[in-house]
Amino acid sequence: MIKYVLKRLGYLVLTLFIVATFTFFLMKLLPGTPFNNPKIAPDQIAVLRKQYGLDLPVWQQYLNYMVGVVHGRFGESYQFTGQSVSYLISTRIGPSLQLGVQAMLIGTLLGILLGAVAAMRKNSWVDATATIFAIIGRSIPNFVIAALLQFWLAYKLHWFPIALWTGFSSSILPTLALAMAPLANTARFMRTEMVDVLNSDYIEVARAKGNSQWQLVARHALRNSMIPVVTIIGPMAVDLMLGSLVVENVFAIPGIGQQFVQSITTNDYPVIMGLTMLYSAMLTGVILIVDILYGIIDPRIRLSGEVNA
Amino acid sequence: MTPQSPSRPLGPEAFKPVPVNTQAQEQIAAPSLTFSQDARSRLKQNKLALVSFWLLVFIGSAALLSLWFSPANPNTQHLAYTHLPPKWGNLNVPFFNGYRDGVDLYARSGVPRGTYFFLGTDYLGRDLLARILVGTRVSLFIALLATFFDLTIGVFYGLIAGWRGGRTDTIMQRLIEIISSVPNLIVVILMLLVFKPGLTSIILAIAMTGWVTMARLVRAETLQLKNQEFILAARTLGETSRRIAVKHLLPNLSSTIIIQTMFTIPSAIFFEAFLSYIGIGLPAPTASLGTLLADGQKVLQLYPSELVFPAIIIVVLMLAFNLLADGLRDAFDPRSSR
Amino acid sequence: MVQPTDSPILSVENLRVDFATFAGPVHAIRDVSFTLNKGETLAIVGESGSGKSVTVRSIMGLLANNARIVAGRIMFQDADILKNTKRQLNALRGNDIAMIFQDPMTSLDPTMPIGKQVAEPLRLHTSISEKKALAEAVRVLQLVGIQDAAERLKDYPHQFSGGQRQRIVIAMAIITQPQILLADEPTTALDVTIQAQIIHLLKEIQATTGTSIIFITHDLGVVAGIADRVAVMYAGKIVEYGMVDEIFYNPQHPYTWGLLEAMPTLTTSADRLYTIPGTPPDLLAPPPGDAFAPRNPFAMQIDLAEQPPFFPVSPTHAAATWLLHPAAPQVTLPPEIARRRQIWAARFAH
Ligand SMILES: Nc1ncnc2c1ncn2[C@@H]1O[C@H](COP(=O)(O)OP(=O)(O)OP(=O)(O)O)[C@@H](O)[C@H]1O
Ligand SMILES: [Mg+2]
Repeated sequence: MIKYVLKRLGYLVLTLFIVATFTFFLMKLLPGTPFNNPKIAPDQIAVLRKQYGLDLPVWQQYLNYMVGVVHGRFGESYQFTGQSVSYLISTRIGPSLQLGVQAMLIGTLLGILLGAVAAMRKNSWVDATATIFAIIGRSIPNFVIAALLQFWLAYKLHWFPIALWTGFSSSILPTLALAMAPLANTARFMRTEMVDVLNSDYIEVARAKGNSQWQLVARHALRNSMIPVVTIIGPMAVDLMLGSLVVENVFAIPGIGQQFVQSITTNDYPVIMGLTMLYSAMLTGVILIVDILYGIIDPRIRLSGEVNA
Repeated sequence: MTPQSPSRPLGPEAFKPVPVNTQAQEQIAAPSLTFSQDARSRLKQNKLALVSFWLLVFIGSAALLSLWFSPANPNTQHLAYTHLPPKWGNLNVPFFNGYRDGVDLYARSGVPRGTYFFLGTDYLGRDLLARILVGTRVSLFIALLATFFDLTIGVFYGLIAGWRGGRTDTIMQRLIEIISSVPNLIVVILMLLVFKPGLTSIILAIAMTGWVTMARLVRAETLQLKNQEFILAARTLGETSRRIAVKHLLPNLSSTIIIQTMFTIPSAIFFEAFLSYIGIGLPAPTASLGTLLADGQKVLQLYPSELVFPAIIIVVLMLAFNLLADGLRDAFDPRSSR
Repeated sequence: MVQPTDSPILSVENLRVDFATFAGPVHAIRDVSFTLNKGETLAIVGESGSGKSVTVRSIMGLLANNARIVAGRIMFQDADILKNTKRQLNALRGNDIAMIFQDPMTSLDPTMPIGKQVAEPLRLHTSISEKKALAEAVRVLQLVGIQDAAERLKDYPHQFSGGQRQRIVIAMAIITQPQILLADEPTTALDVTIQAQIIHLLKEIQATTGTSIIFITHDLGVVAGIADRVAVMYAGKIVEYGMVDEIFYNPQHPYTWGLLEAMPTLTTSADRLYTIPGTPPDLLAPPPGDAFAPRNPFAMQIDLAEQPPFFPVSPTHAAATWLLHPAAPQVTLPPEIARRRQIWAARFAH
């Protein structure tokens, strides 16, 4: 098990290294830097280029960058002069993480519930409603949901703050907007799994033992159908990261998603690179954790001692 | 199990032997359907999928026909007519009569009699219906082309990895792993930073990331098919790899490919909208569903209809594609979800 | 040692079961009646699709959603099981009547330790503590021959072999000491030596507890080793029933003949195995006469027109075939059946 985790960690580092390299050279290919602004005098540009080490040969810049990355330094922002990328990220990651975790929890828990109920009442109106809800949740772009929630619940009804980050109440609408996709996906996945499980032989056996419908679900069906749901946490994390790019913008939340979009519009390459690395690290990290978790909760894998990725 | 006696007296005729013909027994009563006929009839039973299909045909042809029959020039600006509400001729229905908050805005802006904007106008006084039609066309165009590319790349990649197996497969798998460790929209964004923003680059950027799922599916299935007897037979008969791929593999992969394609299209529509929405997609004044949504979002609080109309179109498009994809999957593989 | 008795514990009366399908109702069980006596083993044999599983599932109330019980009663403890409420049914299942299924590989919950699974019926039907239930589980697991049962309570199903799993499934079924065990092809998925062991185990359990067993199989060879009585099913009907010797040595229905001929003996080699030609009838529209007639080399006109009633052969033996009608012609028996009848006759000569 430990050997397996170490091997996976090794791959993770290798992947991040490749991503960093790729991003670095991609940025070098880019037309224009923020210093192309005609309003800045040429000699000033030279000073700036020196300050950011852009006058060095590319391989040396690359070396410097990679050494920095290893030490957790991702250079300085072009936009916010004097601020290091790491610092910038550290001030902004809080709201993003909070939103992400809240949305993930709500999405998976409600999704599991919805999917389970739909499966238990297969082909009933509950099932139909849940299915329609799941398909709609999958089909409305999250930024549309965000905008509509904001317009309706905040602007029209004044139930929630319209925007900005002023405490828990301002996290509710963005969380809802973000949770929609994971909720829809979990519900769908859970329903399929649970329908399969409910049709399986061991459920029939459990029924023959005298379990009532609810006991069947609570003792046998739920656990067996929830285990595979763990595997979609990875893709859901991706959804959440991307969703945060727009949702944070709609609600003007000072998180990394908003920062990423802002950096794109201002060509703030160091921040873009830093955030790309961060997103990749989070994603690979989540996938690794999910795989380990899967090995822990599924006895078939746990006891055979190895996790198949 | 109580023994009974026969209900009526029986004559000797009754006990004459009959010749048996067991051959006739072997014939199966119901005519057997081929796989694709079977799938088609199952699809036809799926009302939602059917409705979705016709809805897509309708939206698609409306968007296409607007090339020649547009209600107005989508790019003509009327700075005097900005943010007009919808007006449907002389129809006096709230929201569609040209009034907002009790004021006849068409009269106030001096719109000549007989000029109507069915879905109103935007912040530059452009006809929203015309822009939505163009936007839908552009979005669909991007989505279809991007999907076509990622289908080609994905199928090719998956076939090679799966068919070759061994070392080639391992390396190709690692590559996929690395690519998918970066959220694909981030890759798209980085690509867009490198290329000049525009139609071509957005198509390429979406295509370059979308193929991974297709490649995975095709590879997995090729691996399975490879060891099946009809493929082994073809191999022992000395058919070339390319012939086997075209003659035996692709037909067997077709349902997977079709279904995955149907799932890719809505996600491509979403990507385009997303990118345009955050401002790195199509440059102004090109209309696409994404740019329309972005424009609408800016004035949402004052003129919600300018967001709602394009939002309805994109939701209906994505919904219809998703439902159709679901329907196709159920039709091809009845076990998968129902 | 408990001996089989003549007092019925369960009786199925005129059971009819339909399944709703797109093509119309499938008449899966068409007027089936039989009794199960205390302490005996009744084997139900028949080809695939003859309705064996549907019959026992009706007893357990485990029919698919599209099933409809059209007619009949299933009497157990002076009450009709078919009239039970869900709650009554749950109280019965796994407690008074337990079931063993065909495939041990899929019969166990893969994510629950086996100790808990075996103890589950006790926990459901009695107020016994978890600890006591587990101790009882150890006892039954040992009884069915699981080595080191106490240490293996926390193990998961995938850590056991197929034969062991079927033993666990049996342990699960007998832990509440049910009065009736329904075994639906419990040995079909196992290899021959394990089959014999499991059958031996069931016999042993029956000898000590006096449980009645309905044993379903399509393999007559297995029947000889376990059954006291046999019912032969074809196309949703019982066509012949009798004591095991009566069925084996004095069979009357041509379908039973076919089954016996299809049974591998020491003299037939496996590659020359005889099977009954033809296929069972379409149960969407069962034929008006004897359902076996189209495959029956001895079929008569009457077989096509009217369903044969049961003709008694002995107080315990009856068969539903027109061949037993007094007016029916004598037929030349297939050699294998003639040989068996000779053995039967020889027995009475003494
Ligand atoms: N849920 C169902 N829907 C429709 N028909 C069904 C259903 N369940 C069983 N049947 C039909 O009922 C008939 C009897 O099935 P059953 O499972 O009892 O056969 P069996 O004798 O147990 O066969 P096997 O030896 O294969 O287990 C078959 O013709 C089958 O097709
Ligand atoms: Mg059966």
